Amino acid sequence: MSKFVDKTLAEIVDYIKDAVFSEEYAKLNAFLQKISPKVKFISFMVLITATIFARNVYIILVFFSASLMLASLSRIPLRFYIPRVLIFIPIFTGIIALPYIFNVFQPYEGTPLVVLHDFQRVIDLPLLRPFSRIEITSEGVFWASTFLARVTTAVSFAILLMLTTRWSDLVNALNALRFPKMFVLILGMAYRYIFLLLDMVSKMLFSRKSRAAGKESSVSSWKLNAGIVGALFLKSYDMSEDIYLAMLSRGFNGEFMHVHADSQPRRSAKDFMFLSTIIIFCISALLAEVMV
Amino acid sequence: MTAKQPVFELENVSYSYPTGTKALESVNMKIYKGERVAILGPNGGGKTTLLEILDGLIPASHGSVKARGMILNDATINSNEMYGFRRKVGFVFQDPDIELFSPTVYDDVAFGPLHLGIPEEEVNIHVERALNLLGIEEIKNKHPYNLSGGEKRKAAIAAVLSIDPEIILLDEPTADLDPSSRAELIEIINRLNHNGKAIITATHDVNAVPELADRVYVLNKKIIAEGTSQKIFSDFELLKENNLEVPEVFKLFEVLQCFGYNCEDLPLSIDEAIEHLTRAVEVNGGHIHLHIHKHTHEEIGKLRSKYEHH
Repeated sequence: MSKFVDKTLAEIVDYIKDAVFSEEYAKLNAFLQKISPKVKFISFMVLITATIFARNVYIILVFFSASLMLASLSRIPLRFYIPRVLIFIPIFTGIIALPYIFNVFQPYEGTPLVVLHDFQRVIDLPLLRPFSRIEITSEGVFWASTFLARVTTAVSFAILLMLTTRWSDLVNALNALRFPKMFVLILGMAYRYIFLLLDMVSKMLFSRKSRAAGKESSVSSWKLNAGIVGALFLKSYDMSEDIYLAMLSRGFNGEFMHVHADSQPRRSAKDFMFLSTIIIFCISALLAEVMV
Repeated sequence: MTAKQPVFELENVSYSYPTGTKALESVNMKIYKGERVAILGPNGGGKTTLLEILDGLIPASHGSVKARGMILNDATINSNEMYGFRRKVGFVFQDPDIELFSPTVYDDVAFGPLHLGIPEEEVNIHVERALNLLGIEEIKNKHPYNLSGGEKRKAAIAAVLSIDPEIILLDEPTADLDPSSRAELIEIINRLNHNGKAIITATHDVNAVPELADRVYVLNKKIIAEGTSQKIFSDFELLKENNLEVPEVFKLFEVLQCFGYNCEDLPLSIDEAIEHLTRAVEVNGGHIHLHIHKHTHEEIGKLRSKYEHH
């Protein structure tokens, strides 16, 4: 168990480090990287919204392939991209979606796909529908996979946006799009400090590793992990106070102001082409769904 | 330092943390325009707290703090009058990760001017000037996470310099720097002082003090001593009591004294040492004479035991 926690934490830290903070792919001179951040942000919001509205799993797959295509056009290696999209989403969304494949949790009688157990009598449970068999229903499987596909696709667009845009450009874009300033400030600071805190976590894990010999029991490892979480909380609390003083010292009074570091590259015809293509694509995909 | 107006005047200033622990006890202090002052003290001696009080970030628990003619207390530090004060006083925090909270270095350097009412179209001029002063124009679009320690420190100083303060408060500016960044930073700080800015440095880096300050306050909750670097560093017992020491250059010349080198005021920094040796060589007709005499070993022994106190 302790190994699992260690590995998961280390993996999350590494993932955030290389995926987000390296800005390695955002600096490439490829397709999406050349689109102005503002236009890119709007386009991806359109794509994500369309994905959420799509109900047909095949249409959602079309959207997913679009994200793969955009990724490869932007010279993001699919070997890097796909695992990033598929690591966390199926785990968390899967946990949520899993119960729905069973008839127990469905409001209606479904078409049985696999019968897991036949009780030979009707069981009446409070808050649930009475049933006599536990089975996996085809409607349930279909619903769960649609849900999973929809979330995965939406997240794949979000990740693609992050990978191909420098964070500061994204923050500038949000500002230019008149997002509330406080929201932009908090977002910028969250990004700034998540890494610092993650770095601290990985250092604490290392320091523990360097002193721990032999096998650790799960309980003691959990206790230690709880200590790390506690230390991190205190540290971040202290830091937040100091950061506030640093902001105060430089004139902050609750009202956040912002200027653009560099005048953003002018939106070109290419940006409009991209945005209109995305809109046309989304509309036709959703229309196709209605027609089919 | 002649007949200048004090920019800071502290009388009987005390501060207790909310937990009741005393951080400062009846501190009296006067700092003048354009001065270079070091606040030297051990860890936990209240240096940072004192700087925070000087910057009007926290109010003193007791006593009066006068800064540029304005009284800093609970009421005034939250008032609008502080804008004028904040444009004249800059505080560089010890941890650059605290100072640099924006997505890019540029945003951080622009933060001060933007929030202190400098018109937006002029902000860019201020930012570029500060970046230029520290020679860090090429990192302006970088995320603070991607900077080296030295670059972070410079960016943090630029973030404060962009408001063009008269007084700069520095908390442990030489901490965590490699030797070359450290030397560069000391030079930058002294150049700022040369341009008329008062520099107040809180530090326990005794080797940096002679290079960064003309006057020193030794602070260990109370003001233990005040005077020129020369005066402070010649009182060994006082330093020892407060977990401090003399600069390495000073120690080296004490060793030379054991070998018959003759001088009264020992140098504290490399610059002073060069001056010192040049003078000694000139006086002695082109050379200095070192030799082992009958007390040399005894004196060296004493010197060793003097510094091996920890």
